[in-house]
Amino acid sequence: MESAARARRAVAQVTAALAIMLPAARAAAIPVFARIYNKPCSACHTVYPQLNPAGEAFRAHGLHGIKPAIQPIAIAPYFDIPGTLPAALSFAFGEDVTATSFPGQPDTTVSHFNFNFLSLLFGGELGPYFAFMADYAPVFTVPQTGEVQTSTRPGIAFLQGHAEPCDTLANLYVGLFELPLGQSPRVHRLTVRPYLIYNITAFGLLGQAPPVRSSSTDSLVLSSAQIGSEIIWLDPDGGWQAATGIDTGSNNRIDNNSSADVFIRVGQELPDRRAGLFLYYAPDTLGAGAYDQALRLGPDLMLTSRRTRLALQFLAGWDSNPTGQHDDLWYYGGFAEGSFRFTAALIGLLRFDAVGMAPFDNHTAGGTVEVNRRLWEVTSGLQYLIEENLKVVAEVTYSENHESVSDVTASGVSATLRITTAFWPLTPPVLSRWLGPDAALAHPE
Amino acid sequence: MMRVLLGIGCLLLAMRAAAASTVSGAAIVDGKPVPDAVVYLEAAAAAPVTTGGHATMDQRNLQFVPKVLPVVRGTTVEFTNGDDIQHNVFSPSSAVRKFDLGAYGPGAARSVQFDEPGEVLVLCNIHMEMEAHILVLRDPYFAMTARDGSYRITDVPPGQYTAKLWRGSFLPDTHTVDVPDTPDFVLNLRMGPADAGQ
Repeated sequence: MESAARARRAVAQVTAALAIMLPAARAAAIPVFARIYNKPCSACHTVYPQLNPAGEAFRAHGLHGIKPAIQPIAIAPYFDIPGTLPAALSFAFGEDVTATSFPGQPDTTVSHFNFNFLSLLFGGELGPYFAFMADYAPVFTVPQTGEVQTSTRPGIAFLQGHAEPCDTLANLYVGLFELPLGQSPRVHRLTVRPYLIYNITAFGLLGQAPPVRSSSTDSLVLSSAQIGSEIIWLDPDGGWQAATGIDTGSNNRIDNNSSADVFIRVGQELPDRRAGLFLYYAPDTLGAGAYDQALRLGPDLMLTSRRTRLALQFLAGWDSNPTGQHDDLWYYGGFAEGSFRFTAALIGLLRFDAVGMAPFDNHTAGGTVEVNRRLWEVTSGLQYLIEENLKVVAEVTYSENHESVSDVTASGVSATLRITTAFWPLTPPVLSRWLGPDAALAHPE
Repeated sequence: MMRVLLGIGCLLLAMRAAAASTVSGAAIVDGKPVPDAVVYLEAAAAAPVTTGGHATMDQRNLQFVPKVLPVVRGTTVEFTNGDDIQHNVFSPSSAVRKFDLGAYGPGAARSVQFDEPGEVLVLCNIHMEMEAHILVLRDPYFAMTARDGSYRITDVPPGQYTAKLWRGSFLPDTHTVDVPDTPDFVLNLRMGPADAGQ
C-alpha cells in the first residue's frame, strides 16, 4: 500500500511538472507513422487516434502508399526495415470520478488521480508487401479504483501482408488484431468509454461467472484484440469490402478451448459513408466440455462529413449454454455515436449505448438463474488538441443497469478529465521546444 | 504617298486610342496596406463570357495552393492532388457553384468550370484545416496584392471602372475610376473608416 502511495505521489509530481510546462509545448507530430512519413497527425487522423478517410485508405493499402521521409533499410529483396526505431510512447493521465447508486446501499463517490496508461506503439513498412503494428501497455490504472496494474500482454501485435491483385486491395493479418467491426473497438476509438455492445458478454448480462472457471477472462469479448488470421479484400473503385478470418476467441490469450472461431464482415466503404454486416461464430467459448456456442450478428452504418460523423451499430448476440444448463440466451443492443468538430482542434461527441436481453430463466432445466436485464448509458465529451499529438479529454457517462426480475436499478456517473499524448521517445512534446522543430525528424543518415 | 502616310498615321492614332493601360498602386484599409487581397475592376458593361481559360489549385502539404485564386468567369479550375495522401475537394457555395469532386489520390486531378461571378469556398472533407477561396470575377481585370499591399493589373482598356477589393470577403466600399488612355495609371485604393473621405 505504501509503495503504491509513493508511486502515485511520484506520478503526481511528474504530472504537475508537465502541467506547468504544457502551455509552452510546441507541435511535435512525431508518433511512429507521422515521423516516418513526415506528415502531421491530421493527414490521417481526425482527432487521434480516430482515422479520417485518408488514414483508412492508408490502412487499406497495407500501411503503404506514402513516400517515407526516413528511408527504409533494405535487408533482402522485397524486405526492408524502417530507417528509424519505429516506436512511439503514448500515455494518459488525469482525474477520474465515479459515483454509484445501488438500492439498499449508501451512494458512493470515488475521485482519484489516474495514470490511465503508458503504452508503447510500434509500426511501419517491411518492404513493399509487409508491414507490422503493435501496442503494449505495461502499466495502466483501473479507472474505478485508481489501482495501478501491470500487464504482460500486448494490446495488438500483427504482421500484415499486402497485395493488389486484379486492381483490388488484399491484406492478410496474422497475430493479435482488432475484429473488423463497424467501429474500431479499441485502437482508433475516439471516446474513452468502451462501446457497451462490444464489451458485454452473456455472463455479464446474467450476472453469473462462466460455468467453466478458467474461462472468466478468456470468454469472447468483441472489443478485445483476437489472436488469429484475417484477410480483407477491398475494391477501391466501388469500395466493396469483405473481411474474413479465424481466431481463438479468447481475447489476447492463447485459448481456453480447442475450437477456432470464424468471422466475416461484408460492406461498402466510401470516403463519406460506410455500411456493413458483421457475423461472428464461436463453436465454444468455454472449453472443458461445456460447449457454449456463440453468435454475434448485426449491421453497422457510418456517415461522415467535414465536421460530423454519425456511427450506428446494432448487434444481436446468442449464447447456447452460458450457464452450463443448456438454456440459450439472446441479447441485442448497439450504439449511436455522433461527433461534431467545432474547429480543427475541438471536437464534441455524444453517444447512446443500450443492451437488452430476452428474459432468461433456467429453473425448468434445474438451474437457479432468472434474469431480465436492460443496460443503457449516455456518454458526452469534448476533446481539445493543445498540439496535434497532445490533447485534453473531458468525458462524462451516465449509466443505468435495470434488472426487472428483482426490480433493481443501479445507476452511476463516471467522469474523466485527462491529458493524452503520443510522441517519439527522444523528443516528447515539452522537450521538443528546446530541441527545435526539426528534431522530430532527426535520424541517422 | 501622302495618303498612305496619312492612313498609317490614323491607324497608329487609333491603335494608341485602343491601347491598354497598366493599373497599379496599393490597397490600403484602415490606413494599413493589405496583403493577399484581390483588387479588381469592373467595367461599366460586362464583357461576354469567354471560356477556355484555365487555372490550377493544388493540394500540397495539406494546404490548398494558392489559398486565394481569382479567375474570370468561364475559367476552368483544375484541382490537382500534389500530396501523397487522399484528398477531397468540395464547395458548399451554392450561390456560385456547389460541387463535390469526391476523394481522389496522389497525382490525380479533377476540374470545375465557373461561369457565375462570386466567391467559392473550397474545402476538403477529409482534412478540416484545409480551406481556400476562388473568386470568380466578371471581368478579367484583377490582381493579388503583395505583402506591402501593392498590386498591378495589366491590359486594362481605357474607360470607366468600379474598383473593388476582396479581403476575406467582398468589401462594400467601391471606387469609381476613369482609366485614362496612358500606359500607366496609379490607383491607390483606400478603404475603411480611417480612410473615409480620402
